[in-house]
Amino acid sequence: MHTIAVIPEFNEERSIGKVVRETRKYVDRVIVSDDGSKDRSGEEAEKNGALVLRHIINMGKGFSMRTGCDKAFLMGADFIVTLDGDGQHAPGDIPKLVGTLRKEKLDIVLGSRYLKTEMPVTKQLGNWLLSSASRIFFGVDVKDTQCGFKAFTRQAYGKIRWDSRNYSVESEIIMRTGKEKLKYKEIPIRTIYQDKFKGTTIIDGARIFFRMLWWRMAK
Amino acid sequence: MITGIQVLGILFALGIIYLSYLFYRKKDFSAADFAVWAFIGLAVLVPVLFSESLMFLVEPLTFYRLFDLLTAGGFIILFAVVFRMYGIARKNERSIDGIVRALALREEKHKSKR
Repeated sequence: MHTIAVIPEFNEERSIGKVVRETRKYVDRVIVSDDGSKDRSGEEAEKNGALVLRHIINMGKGFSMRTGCDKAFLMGADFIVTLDGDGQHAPGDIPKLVGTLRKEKLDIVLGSRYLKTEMPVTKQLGNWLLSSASRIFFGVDVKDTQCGFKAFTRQAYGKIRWDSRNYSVESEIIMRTGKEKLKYKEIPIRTIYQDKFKGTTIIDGARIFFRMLWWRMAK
Repeated sequence: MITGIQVLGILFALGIIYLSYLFYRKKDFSAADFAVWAFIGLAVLVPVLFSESLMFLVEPLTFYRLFDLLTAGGFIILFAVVFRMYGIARKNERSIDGIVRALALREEKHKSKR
């Protein structure tokens, strides 16, 4: 079974090398989707053995993830794992995600930072709101809606292939999981918060909520 | 006598005509773009200078004053322009998406061939 990890990243030259090195231990191939970085992160990833796809301009996390996943799909991946390039996810959790996916014959396994880490209070609050919205709007009961660490099958990717360019990609995946009635499970993962100014902001959170509302109405 | 609002209208219309000519000279606009925008400038100028010429529309369209008619007309035109711009922006966005993704995948393909 062919497993490919997709790491979307933007200006992560300090962490990407280590993330790629660690990830390579658990998958057959690592694809780094460099979203128009201004630093040397693409070179760093390449030096550490990743296949690097470069966007000539910054397009957003969702767009970047889709470029990487499309490539993984074309390369014949049976399982696709996505994780962040800033080192907040522990690649050592990959076997747990893929193992659960295979053993329990699921379509998608979502990582949850909720139980195992010191998530900042503002993020916890935002997550609670978005998680309630996911449950009410799409019938998907997950605690951590914004975690970028997940694994899914080739077949599932065909059904969840998203349109979101930005951080709402994680919510769109949840929305599509509910809509397509995919078999899912949320499992706890380790997380290290590197930079509290990176990732989803309050404004992103509000934007995601309104997009979820829109998807619900358009359903 | 020309009123204050007419002066503003004249300046606005002349501004449109001047800027479109400037863009045409800089080759940012084609001759057709210049013609369209100059026509729009003139189309603004005519009712501003000869506002009485539109009085015949006020009553059939159930407006009380000519000013109301011009304001409503302005909003309708503005809405149409925004709608058209939105369509163009979305189309461009989709084109950019396609180009960026195709370039990323093509660059990698070339690299792996080498």
